[in-house]
Amino acid sequence: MSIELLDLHKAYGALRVLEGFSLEVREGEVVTVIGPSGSGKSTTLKSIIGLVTPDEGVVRVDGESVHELATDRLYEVRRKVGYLFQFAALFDSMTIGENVAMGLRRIPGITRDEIRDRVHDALARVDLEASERKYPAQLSGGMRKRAGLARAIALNPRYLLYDEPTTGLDPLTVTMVDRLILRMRDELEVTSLVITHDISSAYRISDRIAMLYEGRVRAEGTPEEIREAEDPVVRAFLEGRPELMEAEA
Amino acid sequence: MPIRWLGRSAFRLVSTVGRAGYLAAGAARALRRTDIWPPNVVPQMVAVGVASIPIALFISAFTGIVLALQASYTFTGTVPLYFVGALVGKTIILELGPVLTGLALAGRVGANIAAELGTMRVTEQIDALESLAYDPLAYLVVPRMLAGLVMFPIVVTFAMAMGIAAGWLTSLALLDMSSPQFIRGLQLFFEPFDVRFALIKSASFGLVVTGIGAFYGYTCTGGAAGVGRGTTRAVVLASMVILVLDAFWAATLLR
Repeated sequence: MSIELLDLHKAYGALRVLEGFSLEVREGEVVTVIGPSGSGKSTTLKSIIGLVTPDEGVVRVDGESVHELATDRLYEVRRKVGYLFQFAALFDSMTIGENVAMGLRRIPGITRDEIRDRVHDALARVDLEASERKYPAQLSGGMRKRAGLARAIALNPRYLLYDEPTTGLDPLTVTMVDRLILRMRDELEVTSLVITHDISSAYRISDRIAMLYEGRVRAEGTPEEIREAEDPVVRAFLEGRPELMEAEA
Repeated sequence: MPIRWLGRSAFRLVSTVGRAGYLAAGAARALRRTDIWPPNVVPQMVAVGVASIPIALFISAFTGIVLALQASYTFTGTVPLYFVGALVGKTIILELGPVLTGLALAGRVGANIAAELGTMRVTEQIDALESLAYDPLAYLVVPRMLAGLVMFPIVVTFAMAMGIAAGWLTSLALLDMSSPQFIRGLQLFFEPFDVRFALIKSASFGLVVTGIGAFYGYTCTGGAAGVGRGTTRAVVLASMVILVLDAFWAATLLR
C-alpha cells in the first residue's frame, strides 16, 4: 500500500516544473516535500488524484496507475485519498456541515443518518463541532483549514494529501495543525504526503523529507538527515540564504 | 507585425473554439451522470429563470408601451388604428420579447454563471469537487444549461404577455382605442407558429447564454482579474451570439 511517483515530467507552456520527479510514500508514513515556491509541489500533489496529468511518468496509488484509470475507477481512488487544499477550498455557498457531507453523498447506499453521524465525527476530530452550521466566511483561516481537513477525513481515506497546510497561519495555529496531522496519522492510521515550505513544521511532523528543486528530488531523508545535509542548495533553502546557492552556481 | 498579430489572433480563436468544443462534449457526456446533476436542476431553474422574471417583465412592459405609442404615431391618418395591436403583438412575439429578454439575461445570468464558476475555479473549489469524486461538469455545468434551456422560454412567455398587456393598456389609456379594436389588430396577423418560433429561439438563447457563461467561468485563470475578464467576455460573446442566432432562426424558419 503506497503512493508511487515515478519519473514525472510536467510543463506549462515553456515553464518546466517537473523533470524526472520520483518519490514513494509508504504505508503509515508522513512524508513532506519541501521546496521553493513555483517548484511544482502543488502539481505533484494534484497529479496523485488525477487533477493534473503529467506529460510523462507514472503515478500509482495502491499499485493502480492513476492516469490510466476509467472515470469511475478514478473516483474510487479519489475516495481513498483525502485532499486538504492550500486555502481549504471550502464551498462558500454551503455550511461547514454541508461541506463535510459533500463527499459522503457520493457513497452508494449511504443513509442520511450515517452521513450525519460521520459529519459529526469528522468535525469532532478537528474540534469544530460548534461550527457545523456556520459558513466558511464566518471562520478564521485556521478554522477553515480544519474544516477542510474534516471534509477530507470524513471519507475515511487511506491517504491524506496536505497542500501547504500551515501557510498564512499564526504560530499557535501552525502548531495546532501540525498536531492534527500527527493525530490523523495515529488515530486514523492514514499515510500522509505534505507539501510545504515551512521548514519547522516539516521537521516536527515528518518521517521523511524530500526537497524538490528544479523539477526533481534534490535531497531525501529523515528530518535529522536533511537538517545535517551539506548540499549548498538544500542549506540555502533551509537557512534562507540564497547566496549559498549562488556560490554553488 | 500585422501578420504576427493575425497569427496570434487566429491561434487564440482556434484554441478557444477547441476548448469550448471540448467542454461542450464533456457536458454532453456528463448528462449520463444522473447520480450527480438532477438535484441541482431545480435550484438552478429558480436562479436562472424565476429570479429573472422581474427584469424581463420590466423591460417588456416599457417595450410594449413604446411600441404602441410609436405605432400610433406612425399609423395616424394613414392606417386604421387597430393595426397598433397587430404591430405590438407581432413585434413583441417575433422579435423584441425573445431578443431583449435574451440580451438582458445574457447580462444577468451569463455574468452570474461566469463569475460564480470563475471564482470556484480560482479558489480551487472545482478541484475540490473533483477530489470528492464529483464530475464538475455534471454538478455545475449541466444543471445550469438545462435550466437555461427550459427557463428562458418560460421567462420569454411572461415577457411577451407583459409586453402585449402593456401595449394594450397604453392603447386604452393614451390612444383612444377600445379593447375590441386592439384585440382585432392583435388577431389580424397572428399565427400560432409565431409563438413556437419565439420559444425555439428563446431556448437556443438559454443554451448559449448559460453555456458561454459556464465556459468562461470553468476555464477561468488568473485570480480576481481573470474572473472579471471571463465575466466580461461571457456577456459580450453571449450578446453577440444571441443576435447571430436571431438572424439564423429568421433565415431558417421564417422563409
